[in-house]
Amino acid sequence: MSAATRLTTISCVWLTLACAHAALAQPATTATPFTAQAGDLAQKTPAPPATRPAVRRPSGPPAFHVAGFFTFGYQEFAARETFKATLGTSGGPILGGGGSLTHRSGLFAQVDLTRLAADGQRAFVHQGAVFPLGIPLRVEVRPIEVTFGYKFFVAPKKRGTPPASPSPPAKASLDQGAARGGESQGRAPQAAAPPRPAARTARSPLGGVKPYVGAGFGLVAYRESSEFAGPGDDVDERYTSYHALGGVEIPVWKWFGAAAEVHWRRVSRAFGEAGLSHEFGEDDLGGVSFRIKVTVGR
Amino acid sequence: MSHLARRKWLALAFAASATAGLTVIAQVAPGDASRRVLAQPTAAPAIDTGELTVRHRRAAPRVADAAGADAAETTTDARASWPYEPGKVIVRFRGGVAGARDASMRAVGATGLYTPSHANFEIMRIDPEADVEAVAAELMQRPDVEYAQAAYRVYPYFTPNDPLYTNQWNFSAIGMEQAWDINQGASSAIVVAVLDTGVAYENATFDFVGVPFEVDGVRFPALGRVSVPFALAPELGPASRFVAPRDFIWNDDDPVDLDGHGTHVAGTIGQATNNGVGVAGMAFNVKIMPVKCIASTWDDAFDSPAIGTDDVIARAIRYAADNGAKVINMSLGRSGGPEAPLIGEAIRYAVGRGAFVAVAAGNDYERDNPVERLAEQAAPIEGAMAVAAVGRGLTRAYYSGVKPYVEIAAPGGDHRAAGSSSGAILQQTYSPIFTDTFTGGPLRYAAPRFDTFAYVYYQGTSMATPHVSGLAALLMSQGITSPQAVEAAIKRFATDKGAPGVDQEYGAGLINPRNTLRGLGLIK
Repeated sequence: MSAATRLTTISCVWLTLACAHAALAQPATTATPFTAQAGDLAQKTPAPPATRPAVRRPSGPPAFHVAGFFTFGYQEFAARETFKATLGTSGGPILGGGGSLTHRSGLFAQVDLTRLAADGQRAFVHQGAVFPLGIPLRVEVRPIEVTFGYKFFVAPKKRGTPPASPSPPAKASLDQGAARGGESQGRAPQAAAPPRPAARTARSPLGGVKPYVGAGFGLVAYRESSEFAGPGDDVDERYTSYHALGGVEIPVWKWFGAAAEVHWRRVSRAFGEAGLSHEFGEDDLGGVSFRIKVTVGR
Repeated sequence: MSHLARRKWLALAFAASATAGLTVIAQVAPGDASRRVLAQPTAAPAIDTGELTVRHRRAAPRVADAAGADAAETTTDARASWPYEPGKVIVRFRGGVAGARDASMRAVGATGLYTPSHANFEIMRIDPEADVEAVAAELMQRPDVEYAQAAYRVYPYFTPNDPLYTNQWNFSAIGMEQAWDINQGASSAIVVAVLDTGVAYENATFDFVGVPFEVDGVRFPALGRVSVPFALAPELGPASRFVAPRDFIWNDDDPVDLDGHGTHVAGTIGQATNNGVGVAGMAFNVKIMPVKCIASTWDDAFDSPAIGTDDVIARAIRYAADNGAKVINMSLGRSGGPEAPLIGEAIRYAVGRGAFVAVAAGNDYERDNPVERLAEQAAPIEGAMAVAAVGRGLTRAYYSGVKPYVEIAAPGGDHRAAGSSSGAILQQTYSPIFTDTFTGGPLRYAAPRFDTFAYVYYQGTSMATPHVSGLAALLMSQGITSPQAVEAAIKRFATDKGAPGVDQEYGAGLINPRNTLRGLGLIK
């Protein structure tokens, strides 16, 4: 089984598990407030059947959040010597963007496209010494990647609960439900606050900073062109890749946020068969990148 | 020195230099030693630039097919990867059609239109991802468009305009036109030392005292004191091109060529090129260091104080390295006697001083394929290469030595395989009519003149070696400054010939200047 096939299989299994998890998690996030509310009402003052439909059912937040992002950062290639010999540096700036779909459980999927383009020159290497030849060369790396991951959330806290005597989660839920139940009975003004699902009300101890991790696979378009190229001399190929990433998201303002991310990618079978990468014995077109993302969406 | 000893050394000195169409004659030089005297510098006389044995043909100009029509000649280098500039269409609108521009732009989704300076056409900007040729074709269908085309990229396709270039099959055979696109003839910062019979590098007249000598049993009388004119080979000039000349045969600084071999070799390295005259050379911008270290027939007839021996060659190598040579061409050899360790030491010294050394691998395959002692010394040294010869068919020339020390092959000519002398290497050198006066017998025997030139075919590993030296000069100017790396690059990009991999006929293969100069990218 090829690496790409394995990656695809793993991704499919992951996606299935993620969906299953999302389905199981749904009652706890969307139905629970209403169920708790109904339970309280049934225990205390059974409402007339006619009034039951009149109870305000919170529509609840959407199960998925969609966001777009713009990415910029720096890519450090694994084939350090190869890129140094041609570009004079082992990496370069990247630009890109993409979109993500985040389930309120924290599971997310994203697609992103980045681009790195750099100019250098062809070279010859002998016993580790590099001889630049002054022949212009241009490299363009455009990976498109699919990532599946998880954004960490902390357990929800009851709003307004004094920090000195925090209620246990179950009690808090009941209290919340009672308060809401009391709303119809004219009690507890604080219960006027609309019910919020756990994901929405979750607050990180770091003040909204959400760490996340992910992994996935992709396709890397690689172009290499240089002066005085004859037929077949330039390279325009696609290679499969896999990657892992981790970062933190920081809400900034309303729908805008930012994220800092470390991204590792492996692209095997692209380098190493000829050219300078062969001379240096480097076979990975991937590497590590450090990225800043500007996100728009919820 | 005895007659036999003289003959032996002459034979050794020229072991690497077979000639076609010319007669190489050994001679006897007994009697008192004579010294030449520089009588006077002279202006260059009228030069016979006629070509021997070949018909003159003017090279057809090669034209890059910019518009896809009227191509004078097709080329194998299609450069299909970059045929045109994306996002740009060249358009000329017909006059009198109101609103033609706007309508055309809308039709193809153009983003801009402007008229560049010095143009009677306009440039239409379109989506860089769009198929430019398809857009141009679409525009051509419009009645308001006179013509539209992509901005096809044009390349220099350097082909020398030297009229006899078409007879130099050796350069096209190794792709020199593509190599010259990358590097046109190296630069004057590169000095190539030609260790040979001298070079026709100055206009002067020298007085010699001739002594009797014998060729093939025919005895020639003493010429007595004669004034012999020399001229700068017009295709090697100007005189400022020559640096640090040195003569180890006459022990002075006037290494004039009394044979023509060294001048021919120097021509292959650095003949004036693209000057509309004669022939071309590999690295035509380099400086040439003439270092005379082997004696010719006339040197012997004039009783030169030294002949080409191991010690002379070793000193010449060290001299070249000490005086700034970056490439040392040794189209010479010795196929008899024991090993020559002092040559090996001298070559190591030169390489250590940053000079690449090319040595002929020998021409005696059909004479028992003996060991060439100088090539044998050069082969194990990284930064020095022993060079074999191929003919026009790019297969081993019949004479080229087959030995383990053969490291690389280059065109040296093979008139036997070609069926005529045009299978050899054409360069400018002395007209043999004026130099080999002894070929007409004693009655026509007269003092030679070294001021009349012709284009002459030579063959031998002597002719293959300057191809490698020329390539080394190009590589040095391109940026591969280490002689070890030059050798590695030449081998790395050689076109494999004969048995797969390194073999004794071709070594690593036939030199491939274009690929060698282009070096490596990341993946290819």
